[in-house]
Amino acid sequence: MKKYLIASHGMLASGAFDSLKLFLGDIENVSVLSAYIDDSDFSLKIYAFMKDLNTDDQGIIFTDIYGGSVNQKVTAIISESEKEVYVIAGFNLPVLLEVLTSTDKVSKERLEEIVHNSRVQVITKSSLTDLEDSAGDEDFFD
Amino acid sequence: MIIQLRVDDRLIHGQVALIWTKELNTGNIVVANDDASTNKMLQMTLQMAVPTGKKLLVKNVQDAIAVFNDPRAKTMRIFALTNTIQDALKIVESCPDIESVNVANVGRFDESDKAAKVKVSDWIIVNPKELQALEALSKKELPVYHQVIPSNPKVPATKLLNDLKK
Repeated sequence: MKKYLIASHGMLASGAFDSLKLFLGDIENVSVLSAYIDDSDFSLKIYAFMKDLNTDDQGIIFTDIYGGSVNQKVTAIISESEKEVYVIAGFNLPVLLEVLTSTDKVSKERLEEIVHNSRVQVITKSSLTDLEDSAGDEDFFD
Repeated sequence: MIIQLRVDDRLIHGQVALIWTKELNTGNIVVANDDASTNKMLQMTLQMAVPTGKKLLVKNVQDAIAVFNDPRAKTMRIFALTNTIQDALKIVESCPDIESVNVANVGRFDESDKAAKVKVSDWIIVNPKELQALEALSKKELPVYHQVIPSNPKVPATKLLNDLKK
C-alpha cells in the first residue's frame, strides 16, 4: 500500500489536501504536516509517519521546498530508516494528483516521469500557438 | 464506442484530464462543440489540458456524430464531451453506441438569465432549455446519471428530476 505525507511551511500542505478532495473525494493514507503554525516539534509527525509504514508499504513524502527546513528534517529522518521512502521536493497539485492516482507502488523512474510531466511551465501568447494542433481524424483512428 | 458521454461546461479540465481519463482507461477524447470547432484559441486551451499520450479531436456536434458512427470507432474506448445537455441529447439521438451519459457540471458559465435557472444539484444549474433536454435525455434507454468525480456515487438523472418536483 502507498502512504503519503504532504509537508510544508504553514498551511500549503493542508490547502493542497483540501484541493485534492475536489478531484479525489475522500482520500485515505494521506497525512498532512503544516510546520510552524504553532511551537510544536513537527519532526514527531514525520517519525509517526515512518513508524506507520509496514514492510510491504511504500512511503512517499511531498515537501514544499528542496533544501528547505521541512525537507531537511524529512531527509534526515528517512536516511536513518531502513524503510522504502521517496521524497518529492517542491510539490505541486499535478504531481500530487498523478502520484495519488497511480495504482500499486511506483518506481523511481515512474516518479521521475511524473515529476517531469507535472513541472511548472511558463505560458506566453506565442507558446500557445506552438501547441500541437488537435489530432486529425486519421491520427485519431490510428 | 463512447464509454462515457460527459456533459461538462468546462469541457476538458483538471477533473476530466487527470482523473476521468485514468478512471475510464481511455486514450481518445472527443470534444463535440460547435464553438470550439471554429475557435482556435479555445482549441489551444483544450489541447493544453490533454494529458501526454492521449489524443484529442475537436469537432462540431454534427461532425462528431460522424466520428462516433465511424466503423473504426466501434472497438475504441472514446471519452466524449459536450458542454450542454442539449448537445448530448443530439448525440444520443444519433449514435447507438453509447454506454452511458454523465451530466456532470452544467450551467455555471452559460451566461443565461439567472432568475430563470433551476438548481438540480450543486453542480447542475440549468436554464429552461437545458432542463427540457435533461428531461428528454432521462427518458432514453441508456444510463443517464450525475457523477462529478469517480469517488462520487452515480445519481440517476431521473432521481434528480424527481427530487425537483418534491
